[in-house]
Amino acid sequence: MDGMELLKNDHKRILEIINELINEFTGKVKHTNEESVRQRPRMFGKLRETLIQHLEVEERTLFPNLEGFVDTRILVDECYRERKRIDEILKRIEKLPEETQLDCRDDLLAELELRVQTYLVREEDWLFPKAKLLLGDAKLEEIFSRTILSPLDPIQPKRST
Amino acid sequence: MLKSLILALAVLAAFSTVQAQEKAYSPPPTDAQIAMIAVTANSVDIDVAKMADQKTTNKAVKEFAATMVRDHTAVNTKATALVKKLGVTPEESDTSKSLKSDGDKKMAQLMALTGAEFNKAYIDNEVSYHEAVMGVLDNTLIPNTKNAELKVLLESARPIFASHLEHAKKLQASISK
Repeated sequence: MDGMELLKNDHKRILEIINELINEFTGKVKHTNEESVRQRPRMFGKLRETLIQHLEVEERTLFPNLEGFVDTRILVDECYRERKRIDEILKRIEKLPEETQLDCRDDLLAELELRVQTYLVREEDWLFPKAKLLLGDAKLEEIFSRTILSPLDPIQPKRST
Repeated sequence: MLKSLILALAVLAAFSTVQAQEKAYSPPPTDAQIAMIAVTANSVDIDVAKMADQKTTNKAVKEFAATMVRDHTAVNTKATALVKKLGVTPEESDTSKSLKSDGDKKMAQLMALTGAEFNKAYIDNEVSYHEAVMGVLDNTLIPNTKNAELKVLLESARPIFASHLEHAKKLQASISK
């Protein structure tokens, strides 16, 4: 399996977590209130951790190799910006008190879903095909073989040079 | 030189008309109209790029035109598949009609030019066109899109149009030297 496919598998995992989170908040899963409240920080943590690990892999593989091209520089910048937007929404949802109006929470969850979908679609529809086109399969294989090819496994800290 | 100046002014005037019409709309465009505007905007640029590919011998301009054909075709393929999936029939509006008629006029103007004069006019047009498209995308299309999947499509493709603008500006600077 190539590195790009592993990144796409990450995307599927991220979407699964987002759906779990939305189901949890909209009461589509049958937890007692206490269980629900206990589940939430764990789910937010899982989403944030998965996104961070995913971005770290991309920061070490695709992004540095694509930032120099006029066709992909803005796409890469936008991936970073989108991650920040997602993180901000996550923080806002996490800070909401339990008694917050459902409408307000639903709006934030819908925004979170939209931002995550946009992030993933932007990568799969635009960044990955352009990476294949600009770098070629051989170069991509070389790039990914130099890094850990299991994006959701713990990532080694970056070494300072 | 005079011909290029007249062409540049005509292009600017055409886009000012499109933007003025955007502002003049009282009801915001529907998703069906947004889909049509997006498809038309892409198609206009594809047609001009195909002509550029045939007319130019400049390697950088040829590569740029190929990128325009590839990327805008990809957006249209995705947009067409999405509206089909959603069961939405793209609907014409004054904006989509203006885009089409202005695009046809530009094609005719560019067709009359050759060589360096053509390259300059084509790239100048691409800069103006993508600036106008970014404006419409940011101020009209994305904020008014109701369907989440259509919004994702437009937002995810936005950096592509921004890259085209940056690419065109770089070419414009290098051609002018």
